[in-house]
Amino acid sequence: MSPAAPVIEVRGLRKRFGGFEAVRGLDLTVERGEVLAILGPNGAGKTTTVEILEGYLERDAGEVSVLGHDPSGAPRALRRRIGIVLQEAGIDRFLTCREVLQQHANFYAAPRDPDELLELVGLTEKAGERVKRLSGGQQRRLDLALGMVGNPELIFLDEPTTGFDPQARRQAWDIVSKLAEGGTTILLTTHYLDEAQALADRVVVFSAGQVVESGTPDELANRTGLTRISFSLAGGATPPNVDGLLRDGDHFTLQTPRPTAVLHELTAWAVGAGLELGELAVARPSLEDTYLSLIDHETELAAAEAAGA
Amino acid sequence: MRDLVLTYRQIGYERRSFFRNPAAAGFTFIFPVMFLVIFGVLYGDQTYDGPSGPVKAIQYQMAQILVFSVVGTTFVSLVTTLAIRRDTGELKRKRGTPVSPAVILGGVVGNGVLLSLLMSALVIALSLVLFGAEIYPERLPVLLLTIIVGALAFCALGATVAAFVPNGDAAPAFANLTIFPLYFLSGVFIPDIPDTFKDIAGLLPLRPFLLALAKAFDPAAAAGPDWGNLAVVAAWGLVASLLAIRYFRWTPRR
Repeated sequence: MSPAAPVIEVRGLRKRFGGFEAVRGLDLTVERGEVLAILGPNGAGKTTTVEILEGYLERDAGEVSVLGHDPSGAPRALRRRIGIVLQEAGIDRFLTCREVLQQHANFYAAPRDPDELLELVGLTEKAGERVKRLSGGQQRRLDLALGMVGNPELIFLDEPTTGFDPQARRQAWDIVSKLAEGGTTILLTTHYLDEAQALADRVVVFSAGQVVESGTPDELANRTGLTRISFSLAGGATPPNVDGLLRDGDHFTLQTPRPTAVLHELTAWAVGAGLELGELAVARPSLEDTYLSLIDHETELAAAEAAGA
Repeated sequence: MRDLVLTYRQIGYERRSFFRNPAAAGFTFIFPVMFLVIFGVLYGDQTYDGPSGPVKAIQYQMAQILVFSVVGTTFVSLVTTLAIRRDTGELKRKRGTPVSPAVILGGVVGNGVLLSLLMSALVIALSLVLFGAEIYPERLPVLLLTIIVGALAFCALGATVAAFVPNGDAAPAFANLTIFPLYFLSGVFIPDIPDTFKDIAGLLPLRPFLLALAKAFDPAAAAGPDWGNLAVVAAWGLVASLLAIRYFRWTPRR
């Protein structure tokens, strides 16, 4: 395999569970050193796709290559080179953090040092503590360390920060960022748009078992091309009639492709009338706007399809 | 070679984990001891007629309790442990590493066999001290062989049943539902069973194990191993191993 070859290549992937087709002809490419985030609602086929790549699930159709291997049947040669952080995976609760890490380190030819990993994930003080005494967030960080212990070229993170408090999420992001700086290829699934924005080089959006959008977080955010403007007016004043202006009591919002002109019109009016636009905010387009409009669109399409069928 | 070292280490982790869970470990040890004391107090002084004079009932009871101990630390333990670890995703996590499945199962089986030997030593020691049982030093190697063959076979049977347990919550029920009929059919609790039972149970794994153990404690029996019964136990172990390899699942049912 040449160094330029993609780490993951998927063409026309299909997987069916009984009457439900979870993955419907999906294409995906992940380049070496890239952090790719898969976004999508529940049931979009994220976990199914990732579990096929990890070798846990057999596909029904399509071509899949992970680090040059067909992951079908989880060949050992592949398992040596990847790290997997599952959404939910038990640990022997009566072993200590260091013991569990050492146990897993034993499984690899050139593992990372367990103590160094404990430091990286901020569990040095808990090294001798039994896993059952860790908090949920601490266990999840141990999960991250276990995913890294084999010094993998490619790491799968399935919703790594679900259930974290904001501070724990920042810590986890720092860990993942350090990993990415070290050149590890990372495939991340997440429900959190801010997580994708913070970590990913590229985002793909899954819906109904297919990729419906792909690009850098900024590209996706700019896809709607709309800037959000919001302000409030005291005393029941009525602003000039600007296209798309929504009123909720004293609060006003609008999304516009021409923020400069709209702002000029609004501020000129306010200055002229001797009023202040309270809580004035201009927000650049967010990934969330694009994502929600995409998912809404897809849901409408699916509903129309169902009604037509 | 590397896998052997890994298996040895896995056994160490399993042992540590087992003894750090006092509730589970205590139950595993106390249950057979309780049966030994109850049986010993109720019937220990009774004798039955052997070919060369009266034999104390405790000689046979030791074999009964040893069967119960070994099955508890192997079969019952594996059915529940494996099913629960599959449910929690612990097995799935390990399956995602390069470790060989044989190493993971080897750790569980090795720990089961070691615990069986430990339990057996405890039961025999208590029988000697409390109820005046007799053991014959020259038969200890035979006893050791019999316990190890039985422990390995019942580990394999446990792994097989675990493959068919739908989830961890159902595991104890599956273990009890498969083993208790065998206990009664094989005369583990009530030695006086009809001949039909003896014939049927003789072909199943539990009674041959019981008889092979009983022979080691029987003053009138020949000193060598009970090859016939051991062969039946080993055959079941082999078949169960093949079934376990064929049907064992690492991931929970979706």
